[in-house]
Amino acid sequence: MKLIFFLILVLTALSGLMTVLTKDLFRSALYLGLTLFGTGLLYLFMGYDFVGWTQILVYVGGVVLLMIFTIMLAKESIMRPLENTVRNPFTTGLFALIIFLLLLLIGKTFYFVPVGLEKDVTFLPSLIFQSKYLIPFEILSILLLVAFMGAILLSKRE
Amino acid sequence: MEPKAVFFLSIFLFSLGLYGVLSRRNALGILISLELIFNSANLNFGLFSFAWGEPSGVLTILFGISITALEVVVGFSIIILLFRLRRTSNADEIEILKG
Repeated sequence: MKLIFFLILVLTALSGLMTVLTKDLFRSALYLGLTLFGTGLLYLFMGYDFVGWTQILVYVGGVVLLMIFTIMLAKESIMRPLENTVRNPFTTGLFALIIFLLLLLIGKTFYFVPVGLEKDVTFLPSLIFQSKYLIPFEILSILLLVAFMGAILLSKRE
Repeated sequence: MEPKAVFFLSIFLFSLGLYGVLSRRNALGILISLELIFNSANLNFGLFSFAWGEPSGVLTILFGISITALEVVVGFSIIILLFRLRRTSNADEIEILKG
């Protein structure tokens, strides 16, 4: 079990690295899907069944699919693929490295005692429907509806 | 389940996303890198919820996933619109707002 966990960790990190390093945007989106899938598996490892499967369904099934569709639609032609050149890779890489080291420094101060919760399918419904989070949850659904209608309106051909 | 290792993965993904957002020229590439940042933030919420026994972090992941789906849908429809208008998805060439 420990081996599988570290395998997933390494796989997620490597596919995340490939997401930003690949020249081809299509492959980049596929690697992003792998990263998100690995994160979903990590949620499952923490015992968050509902959140993990939601992540896999919504992200890998919905968002990455949408990205792939968009990339295919926006492809200028098969002869001339989308250029995905990088600007100032060394400066930005150095900046990202500095931020990484800073976060590492901050992370050293945290304590991690895996308290663990019960499975999220047992406490999520009561957390949503019997607490102050009900109104934000409902507002979120309205926001989803409005945003999807707006997206359809934006991308509709006249 | 090693919380420290997951934390390292989370900040690693965040730095990668930062690098991608700053260095990519293509608007689609920028949005893809932005997804990495959102994902690492969600992972952190889940991790601290796990490590400190606080259930509301799990709920925040659900909210975050929904908001990210929204952001992707709207962003990509804008990119398709721009592509139809200017035949490019290169963020440097899109300068309609420039006075």
